[in-house]
Amino acid sequence: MSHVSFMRGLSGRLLFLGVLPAIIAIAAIVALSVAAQRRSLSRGEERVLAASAAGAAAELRVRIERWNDIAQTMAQAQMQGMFGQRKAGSEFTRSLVESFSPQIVGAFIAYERDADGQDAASLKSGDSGPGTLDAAGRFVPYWHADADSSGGALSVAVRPRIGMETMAFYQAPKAQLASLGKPEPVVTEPFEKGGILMVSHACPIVIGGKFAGVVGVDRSLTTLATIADSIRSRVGADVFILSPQGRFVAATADGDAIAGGASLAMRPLSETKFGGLAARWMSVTSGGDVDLFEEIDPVLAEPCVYAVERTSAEGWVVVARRSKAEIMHEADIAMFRHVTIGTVLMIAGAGTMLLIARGISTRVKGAAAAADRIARGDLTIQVPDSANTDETGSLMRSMRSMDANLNTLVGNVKQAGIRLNSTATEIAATSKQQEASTATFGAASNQIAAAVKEITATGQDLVRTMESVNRIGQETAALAAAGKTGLQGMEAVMQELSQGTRSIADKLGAISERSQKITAVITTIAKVADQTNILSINAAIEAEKAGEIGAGFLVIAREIRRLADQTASATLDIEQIVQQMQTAVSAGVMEMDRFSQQVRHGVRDVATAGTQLTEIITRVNDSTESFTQVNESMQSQSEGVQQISEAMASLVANANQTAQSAHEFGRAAGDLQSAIAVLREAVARFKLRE
Amino acid sequence: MSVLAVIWRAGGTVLATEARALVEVLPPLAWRPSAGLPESVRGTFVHRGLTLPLVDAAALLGAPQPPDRMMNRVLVIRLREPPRSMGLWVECVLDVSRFEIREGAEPAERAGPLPNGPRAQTRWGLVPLVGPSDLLTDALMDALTRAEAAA
Repeated sequence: MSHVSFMRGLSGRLLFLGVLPAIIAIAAIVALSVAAQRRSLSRGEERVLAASAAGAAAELRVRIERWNDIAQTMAQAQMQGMFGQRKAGSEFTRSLVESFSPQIVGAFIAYERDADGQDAASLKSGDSGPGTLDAAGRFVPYWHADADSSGGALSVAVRPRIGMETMAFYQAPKAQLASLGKPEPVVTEPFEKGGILMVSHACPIVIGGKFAGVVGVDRSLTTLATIADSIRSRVGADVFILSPQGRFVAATADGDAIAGGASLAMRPLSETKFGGLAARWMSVTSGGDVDLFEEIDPVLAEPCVYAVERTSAEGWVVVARRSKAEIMHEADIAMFRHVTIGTVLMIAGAGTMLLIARGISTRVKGAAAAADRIARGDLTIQVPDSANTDETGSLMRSMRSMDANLNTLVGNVKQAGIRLNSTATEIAATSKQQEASTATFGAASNQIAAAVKEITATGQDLVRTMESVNRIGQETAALAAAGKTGLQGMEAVMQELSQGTRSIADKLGAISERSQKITAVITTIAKVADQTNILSINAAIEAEKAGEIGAGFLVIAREIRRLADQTASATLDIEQIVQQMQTAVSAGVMEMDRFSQQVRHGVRDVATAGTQLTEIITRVNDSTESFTQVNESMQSQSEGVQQISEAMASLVANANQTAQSAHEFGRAAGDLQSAIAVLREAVARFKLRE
Repeated sequence: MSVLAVIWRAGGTVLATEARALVEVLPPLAWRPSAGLPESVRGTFVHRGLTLPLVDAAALLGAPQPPDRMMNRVLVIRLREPPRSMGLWVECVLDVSRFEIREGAEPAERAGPLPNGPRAQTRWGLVPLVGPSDLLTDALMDALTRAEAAA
């Protein structure tokens, strides 16, 4: 038997024509999938950063509008009947400081000079209370809260506010009134007083169509740091809050590093290391999308993603910053996990296929060795039986059957040769008994001819059986090829289905995330409505205590309370709708996860079936070649048996002629002995089992 | 006669208090428990720099105490004799408006331990108009005095 090298053998062909292309294709698919997932994760993190900036801007806007409403309510109280009631106005201002400290640092009323015509009378009578008038009797009380030194409890004091004509809290609402023609609240630029960063919310008083003064509150900005820290802890991004004129008000990052060693509070953006980004940050307009862009950070010296949003009220700017390396960290972990799993699966698949190929190759080699020995005439060996149910097992069983039939055939031929030789010798020795023995010889020849015919029939049956096996093998290969083509189409469809389910799952996740942000905003609105409700109740109580002069403000308080109740009711409705939406989205996400898992299992099963069909096709094709070789050998053997049969027919004819031609008896006997010698020599090369 | 009154509910009973008797209305706040006080007194809290007792209105009316909610309110009430302030923890404030008062007439049903006094005609029916003296017994006043002295 000739030796077959590994590269030309079954295992080598399977490795280089089946396993290696499959490994290359799987590696390409894994690489494309990882790249797409990495891009998707990066975009998701950037959307979270933009949403954080937008959320902080919205919360900042709510706070600004809330205190603007307080200032506007104070102005409405003055214009609805409290103007000129200096004592009541001063007490009302004091009650605001007591109620909302420490959120507000102070509250103030500043009339224009002799706006109510009572400057001289009030200075003389002192009815408005100490600390509420300047030297000319102008009504300018400024109530402010101070923590006493004993235990942190608050005390409220009043002093006149002098020289405010040049201050922003007085000039800004006055200028806005002249511009708009109606009283609207104004927020000043942040300023620092007594170590506290604050802003003034002021609203003009209009009496008889003329500017009569301003009212408002000074609000502490320490709570802005809470907003920035909350985003920092939730998202991991640094947050900067800047005033409308570009001054730093709050920051979660190292202020000394940004400001070059100086304090960052109230420092203009252009005087910090972020000066190069000032034009981009401050050019963002309110009401549009969040400005999302990537730049080299001048402080961290690495690529960072920035989300910039401007509030719709007063134009404050919120900037959220996150390192690009942090954003991509999660994506890199996912990529490593995919590559590792893909490599393990490819190695396992290749090992399994090589083991299967090695088993087939071993069984085919055994069959080839048996056929080789039979071809050399060695019929002494016993072809081992095989318990395998595949084509190789069938081949081994056919070889075993062929070997047994050949043993029987050759054994019969040898025995016939011996008997012929004995007969011929007897003919030659006892020529006189030739005529009598002719009948016996004819009978023996007829038996030999019958045996040869039986051998011929058995050989032809064996040939037909081998042809049938070969035809069935080819049909099986054709069916397997058709099945493989169908499975390849099914695998492509399943891959598209898997990608579609992943896309839907991503979109459902985005909806769930946004609904949670809506819930946070609803909670803020509900708190504001609740506090507004309490404020309106207290305003009504204070208006009642003020007597007739508070009647107008009592109406305003009732309207504010009604609006707060409507806000709370609407908020409850929105909250219920959002909860229903979150429940539906959660159910959808779970269903999509389950469906996506089933699709992944389907893709894997189809790939496994395709691989197994490929193995079947290869094995059947290889077996077909072996079947053809065996069939050809059987044809050759059948022809040999046919020649024997013809020889036996000739022998019988000669025996019959012996009876008729006695004078040719001696020559015919010699011919018979020669033919017998040839026959014995032909079968002598076959070694039979004992 | 009409007065501005705050309508509130505690222990399932709707009551009214004249607005002039209130210092202000506060949201649910943190309070500190004190030992040796009656069950109807929750403890003390700091208001405008002063430590005031916090009385549970539901317990005063003999009703079980429901769990605290965001809608709960603290009515800061000013007492005249002796002059002091105290906090009254109620379930919720229903309305603030001006109501007609009927002196002791048509007592629809008696509100717990409260006397039959003037009542306000509201959309919840005839609601008893209660003042600080109606809510606090002498024994409770003595206990509050001792608590303030201890604080």
